[in-house]
Amino acid sequence: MTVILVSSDNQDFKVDKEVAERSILIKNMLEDVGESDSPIPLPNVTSAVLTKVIEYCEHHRNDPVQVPEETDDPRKRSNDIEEWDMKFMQVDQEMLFEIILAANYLDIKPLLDVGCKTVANIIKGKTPEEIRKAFNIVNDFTPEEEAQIKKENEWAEDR
Amino acid sequence: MFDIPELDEMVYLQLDRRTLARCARVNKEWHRVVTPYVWHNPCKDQWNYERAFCKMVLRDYLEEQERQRQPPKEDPGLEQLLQTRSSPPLSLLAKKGAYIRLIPKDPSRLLANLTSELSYLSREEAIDVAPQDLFRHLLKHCTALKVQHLRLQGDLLKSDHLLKTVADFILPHARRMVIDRGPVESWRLKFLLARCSSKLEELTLETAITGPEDGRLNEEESKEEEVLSTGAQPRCLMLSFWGDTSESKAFWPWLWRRCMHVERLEVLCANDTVHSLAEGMLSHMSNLDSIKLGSETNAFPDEDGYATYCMELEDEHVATVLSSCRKGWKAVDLRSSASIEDAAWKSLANHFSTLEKIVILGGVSIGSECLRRILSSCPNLHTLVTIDDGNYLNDDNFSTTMYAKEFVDLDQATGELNPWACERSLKVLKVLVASVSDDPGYYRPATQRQVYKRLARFINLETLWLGHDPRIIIELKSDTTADTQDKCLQMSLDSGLDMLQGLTALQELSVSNMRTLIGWKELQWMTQHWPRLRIIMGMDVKGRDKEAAQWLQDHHSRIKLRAEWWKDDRY
Repeated sequence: MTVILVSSDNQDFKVDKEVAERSILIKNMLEDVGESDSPIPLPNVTSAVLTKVIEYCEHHRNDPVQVPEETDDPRKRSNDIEEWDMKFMQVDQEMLFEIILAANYLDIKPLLDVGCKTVANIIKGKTPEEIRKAFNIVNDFTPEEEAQIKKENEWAEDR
Repeated sequence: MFDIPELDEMVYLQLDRRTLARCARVNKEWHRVVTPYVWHNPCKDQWNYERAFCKMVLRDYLEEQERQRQPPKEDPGLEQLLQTRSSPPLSLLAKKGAYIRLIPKDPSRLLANLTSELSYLSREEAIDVAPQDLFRHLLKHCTALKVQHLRLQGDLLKSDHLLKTVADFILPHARRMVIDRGPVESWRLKFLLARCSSKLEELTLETAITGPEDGRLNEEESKEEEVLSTGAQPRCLMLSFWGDTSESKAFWPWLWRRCMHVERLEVLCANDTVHSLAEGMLSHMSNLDSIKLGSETNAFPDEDGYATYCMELEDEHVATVLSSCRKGWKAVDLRSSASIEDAAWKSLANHFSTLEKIVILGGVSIGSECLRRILSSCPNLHTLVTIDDGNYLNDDNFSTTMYAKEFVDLDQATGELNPWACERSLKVLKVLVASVSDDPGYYRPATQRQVYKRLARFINLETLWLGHDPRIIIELKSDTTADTQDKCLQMSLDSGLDMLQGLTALQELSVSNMRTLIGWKELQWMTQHWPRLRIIMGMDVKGRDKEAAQWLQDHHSRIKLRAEWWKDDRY
């Protein structure tokens, strides 16, 4: 069985129901509507992003459903990303952020996880200046303010 | 970063403290968002992080002391007075302490680190500070702690000062509490439990409890009338090493009265208090329906960290506890230091109508026939596990096996399989089916087909382990007959695998250390008929099953050939 998803720029995407249902938002919509062939509009997702999201869902169509659990165990919230996902996430930064926002909107938890881990990996090991460069951010601190914050957080940067 | 706090959080929780501190210096917006995460769990990830943190606490404390010591200026001008009023100097911890949500689950460790920082500094300058003052200084500023786990060591509780600090600032937030390395005086324990909040879900006593019963902290703490509606009311109670009962007899009934919400009980070893416990279960624990008896070891660290041994649960103990459930057991978990003989078995059999989950591990002596009776008589059973995990295994302590004859369970008159009560309810089956053939070199087709036929009746099965826990590497020994899995199912189409085509819900299969004959034809068949299959564990991917495994990886990469241990609860 297939469903039709419509992107914000009015492109139709025909996908297997099983694939579309990786999105909890769509799954719930389908359950509410029942049997129906009417297309599902996704006004927050462009066709470029939707193409990527569908690619992800196709690849992960048979993954077991994740049980959300809170954990402090560093091994469980490890930064390792599966090889396929890693390649999948090799996109420009704008697309990366768009995918994360789409995953959030469509409620696709594993994609959201992978996206956020990818962003975290970009930040890791960088100095404040390097982070500003990576995300195109302007420093709006006065030198005094910056020094004050550095002092307050000195313990946290201590090795 | 995203303007959506939940998304920011997902990113920041991935980062270590050092990186977060750098993020806080990026710009004002990042500083505002990131600062709570810098402080969120200040001691996590690395040991030296905790040292740096403790150093900061010490410095902060000394600064605060210094400020308080400064004499007020004589005749301060009005202007200055107004200034100090409007911005009273606050210490760093006073400003940021509310961001601290997590501290190490063992406060003794924190105290030890504070103590050592203190001793480093006191070599250089003369300071008059006690570690417990530092400890209190830190904790009094942590006003929004979220203590998931708390491990209190007996020696920490010996100090009245520390006991009070823990009670004032940590206990109200605790969700799971372990008390170990005693002995602890029973009045101190009562004091602690009375100061917990209803947040406390799990209580583990791993300590000896001694007299006196009626100590008290100091003059202010007047001995109040016992109020049951406040304080600890755990839902899970674990009695692990709970000895020295002669001096603390009255403590136990006091504890049972607090157990009105207990749903799960774990008793790791026995002592004279088992009968008091049984009475407590009957009169107070009306919600109790899940139990674990025994453990992989009955050795526990004593005060100095040496192993001490406590009494194993004998048949009579197990029977007493198992027969004291008001509601009817739903889950029963039996481990190696518990023994099951006639009396315990009889008590267990009385609960067949309610049992949903049974776990029997660590060489608990329970025969094939008992397993057959469980499977054939429990109409609500969804899980039966008898395959040991890595915690137990040694050369002569193998998993309980079930002989094929019992597993097939033929009706002597008709030659058909006897119907079993759990055929529809069973979802997880982990059991070694042995002696499918009499001779390792020769498989009896008829018995194999009957075993398949039996398995095929569990139409809702999701997890099927027929081999050992795949984490364990066992050398297949052909000279031992009991457990080598020589005489297991071959799992080949020729031997009748296609009889299992109705198991469409199957997700997980383990054939670890079995001499199976799985080729690519079998794997192809499995992928066709078991659409939800995602893991096949225990294939010999480097040897015998190499080509088949390669075929599977090429065509169905979503099906994994080994478990991902870090996602497993136990790891």
